[in-house]
Amino acid sequence: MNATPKQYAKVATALGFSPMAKANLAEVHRIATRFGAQMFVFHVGKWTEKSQKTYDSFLSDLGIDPSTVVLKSKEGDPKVELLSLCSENDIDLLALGALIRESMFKVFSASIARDVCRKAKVSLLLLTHSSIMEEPCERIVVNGLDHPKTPDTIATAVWAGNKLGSKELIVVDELSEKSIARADDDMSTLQRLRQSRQLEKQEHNRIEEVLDLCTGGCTMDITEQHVFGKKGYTIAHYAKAKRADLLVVNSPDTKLGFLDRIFKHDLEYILSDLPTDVLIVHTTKELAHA
Amino acid sequence: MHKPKNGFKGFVENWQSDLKAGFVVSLVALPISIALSLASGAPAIAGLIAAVIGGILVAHLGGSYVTITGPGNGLAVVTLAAITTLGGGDMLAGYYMALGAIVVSGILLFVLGTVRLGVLADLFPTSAVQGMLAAIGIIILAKQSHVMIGTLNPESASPIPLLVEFFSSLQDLLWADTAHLRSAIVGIGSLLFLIGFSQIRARWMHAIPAPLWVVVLAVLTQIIGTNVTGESFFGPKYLVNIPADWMSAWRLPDFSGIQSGAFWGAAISLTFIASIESLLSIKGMDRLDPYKRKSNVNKDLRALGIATAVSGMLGGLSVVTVIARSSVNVSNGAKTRSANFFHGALILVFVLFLREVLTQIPLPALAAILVFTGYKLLNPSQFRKIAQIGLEQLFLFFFTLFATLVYGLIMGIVLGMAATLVIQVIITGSGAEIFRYFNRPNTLLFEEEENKYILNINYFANFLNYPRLKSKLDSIPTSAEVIADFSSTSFVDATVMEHLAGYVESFEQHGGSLDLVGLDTLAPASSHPLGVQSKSTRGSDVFLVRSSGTRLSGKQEKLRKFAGTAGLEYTPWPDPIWDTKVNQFHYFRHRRIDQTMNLLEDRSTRLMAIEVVTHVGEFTMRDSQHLACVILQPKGIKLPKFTLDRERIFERISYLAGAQDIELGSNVFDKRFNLKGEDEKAIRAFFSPACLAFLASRPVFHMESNGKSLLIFHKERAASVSEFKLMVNFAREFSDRIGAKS
Repeated sequence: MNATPKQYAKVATALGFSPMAKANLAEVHRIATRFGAQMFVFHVGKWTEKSQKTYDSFLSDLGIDPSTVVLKSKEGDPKVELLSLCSENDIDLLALGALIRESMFKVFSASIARDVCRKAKVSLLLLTHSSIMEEPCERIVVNGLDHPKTPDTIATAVWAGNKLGSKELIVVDELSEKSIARADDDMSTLQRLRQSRQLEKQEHNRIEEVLDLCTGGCTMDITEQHVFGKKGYTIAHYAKAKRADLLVVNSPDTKLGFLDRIFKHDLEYILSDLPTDVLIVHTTKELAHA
Repeated sequence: MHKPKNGFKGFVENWQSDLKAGFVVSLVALPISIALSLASGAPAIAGLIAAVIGGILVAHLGGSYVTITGPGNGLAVVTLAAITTLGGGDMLAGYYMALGAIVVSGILLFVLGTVRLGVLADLFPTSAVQGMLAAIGIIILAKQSHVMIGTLNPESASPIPLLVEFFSSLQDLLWADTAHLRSAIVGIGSLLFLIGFSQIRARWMHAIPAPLWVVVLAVLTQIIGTNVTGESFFGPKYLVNIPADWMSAWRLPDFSGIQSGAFWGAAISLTFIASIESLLSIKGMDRLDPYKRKSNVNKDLRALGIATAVSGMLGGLSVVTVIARSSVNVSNGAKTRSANFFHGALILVFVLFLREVLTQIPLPALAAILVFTGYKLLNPSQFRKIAQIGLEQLFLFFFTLFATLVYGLIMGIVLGMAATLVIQVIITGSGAEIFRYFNRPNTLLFEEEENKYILNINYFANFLNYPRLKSKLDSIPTSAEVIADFSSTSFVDATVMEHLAGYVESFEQHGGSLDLVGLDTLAPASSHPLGVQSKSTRGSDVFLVRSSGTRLSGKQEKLRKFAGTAGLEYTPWPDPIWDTKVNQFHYFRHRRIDQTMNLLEDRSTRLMAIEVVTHVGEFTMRDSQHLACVILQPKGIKLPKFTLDRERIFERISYLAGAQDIELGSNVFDKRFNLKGEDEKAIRAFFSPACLAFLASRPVFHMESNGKSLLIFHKERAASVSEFKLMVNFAREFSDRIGAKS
């Protein structure tokens, strides 16, 4: 087992002229600078003079030097073109301004997120509260699932946390309740407690091993939290309850389709009700699982 | 307290007390079992078989401790309906077909227990269940009031016409024959005796349960009357009929209807009502259990299923857990399941050896017992209590009650659930939210520290998603400390509040605690602690609610009490001026204060504890955050500006950009804390050795000093009452330490 952090060198964002566009640009630019990455701005649709003007005023307002940003525009279906722009330019992190709660009329960014997760070989950062002023990213929650992708994901969280100057990293280990006794009466409640303690201990050892691989040079306090509950949902709720500033998770193994939205699982719980900023780390280890 | 052992050891240890309790219960169960057979339209022996089989089998296989099993009230109504519809007018044929349905329902109950559907009973809104039970009471009462006055076969079948017909049955008395008149007199006399029984002072009277008195007195009347008049006093028509050859008359239940919808309708209704009645009784008994044992409801359901199937095969009624007989059991000192066994075995003995006596019981006396039972199920005194929880709950109660009377039990409860949902959508305005999230997980449980759990609830909590909350609550050992945080919930319904109240009690009984926090910002729809709590009913104008003097939540009541004992002044909704007082700390600089609440103030030492609801940002609708903190303005002490914490919470605040980490040279202290400030000299002077020793010996609190006052808090979330106490005590002692030095 080994762990390689994704060191994002090319960060792209999609420009739409929404009320949050400026804040998004500011946020992504800050992140790109912190990461020491090249920033790309993609636009899908007709690039008019007016667009150029607004874009220029955004950059000058935010004090960004236009020469440091690569702007690309294409016409066509946003989802398709955005992905092709990503692959053409070898983008490794796509940052999108997302709405906190998905609704019928606001599915755009969430559906792009799904398509990107499904098709593109790129990590995804969903921003829920971009702001013009910098707000520090203090607390990061990362998943500690027993999965081949996890070491890379934690390594990436450590790398990003160091770059962003975060102080605290919580590795959340979601445990299935199915493997332990159900609490039906006094006896089984005790049994459940014993089993869960034992399971937590095992998991602790496993996570320690993973952490040994990927936390070299980490400047953050690292804590572990074992939580029993539904995968995906639990970590999202935890991140919300703990007021984390960033949630880092594995990319999904399977394709997410229309049915996944109705019968929600894993990542769908996070996508449909974003608890905070979410980084979905794409790694090439997907096949190792099978 | 020493808990009785399970199994054979427990039997050896406790058989004397269990035998005594079982004996008293069997005396109660004997007349009631016969009466319930009567109410079910089945032969008198059917109820007795159910009691015997229930007692003997469930005592061995069950998962609860002090419950009594046998024929049930709700089941009588369903069985009567099954016998009437399946038999198509022929009661005896209907009875055998209903036995088939009972066997099938026993199998279904066993399946329910196997797939762990014991949560089923918790899925129904409380008011709807209460309405349904009251309706069962009325149905029993409507039919049996006729029998009580000697009209054995009233013409109507459904409850409302039956009630109306009661007056014509009364008129019939005018030209009734002597046997009819005697029956009516014994029936009405029995009812009056039952009503007046609790008023009787003579203690020896209470040595025998009231229903048994009724039966004994009525049987004595029959025997003496027969001897005096020389013929059967009431006449055979009005007496219980247990044929001498009841054992050899046994035949297999009739499964011929198994392909018909009516058969399955009956089987499903039987299963449904049996599980609801049993599960509610088991839950009720867990609260009454003197040893506070927790029943395994699924195991109990399986046992009831087996007992029901066997009872049906032998010609008996469904076996359910019954609360009234169970509480008699507990109050007579039952300790283990053996009491249930003794009750069943003793009834068997009575049936075998006292058949002659049992056939002398006049039916009107039994009908009087049923009328009284029906009235107790209706329990008009509960109307007031329900109305206090909320008028909408009273509406739901009556809605379900009438729906049940008109459309039957199953339709009644379904309509009751639908109405509850509609009402919730109306009063909370969260229809879309309910629709979107009812099917999604909404609970998070994690162990924050050893044996200290945080349970966080998202979206909303009502009867639809209560099973999720319940399964989390059940998985926590009841000796643990739990904080249930509702601050990100938009509404909590009366059903969940009621269940939670039960859990609070259960945790306290076992030495743990369950604190409900974050409910203070939800406005209750009524002044009752169990009423619906909703964000929307508070409205946008927070101030309006603050000044209108709404009732306090449970936590606020406790805070008020604590304030009284600790010499603090308590204001649940302080003046908005407090927002600015809180705002002077840099911690709140990036937050907007929505509301302050729960102010505890000590003017003499200038100490204020307060809870603040904030949110971050303008556009970005990040969820609001609760924080409980103490503000201290020590007199005559020069405070340097500093921040002290461990979790680096204050590093969010960039104002101390020029500030540096300060090490005070005390190893323990420097390791635990992160102290920052500009004026290092003043800070060193401020933290005296006594002060350091104090801080090092306490749980980590976070502190910010802005030069004038101190902000102290423990955790970045809403605090429970005990955490409030902890914080106030900490602040007081800390204030003494820094005061002593100067």
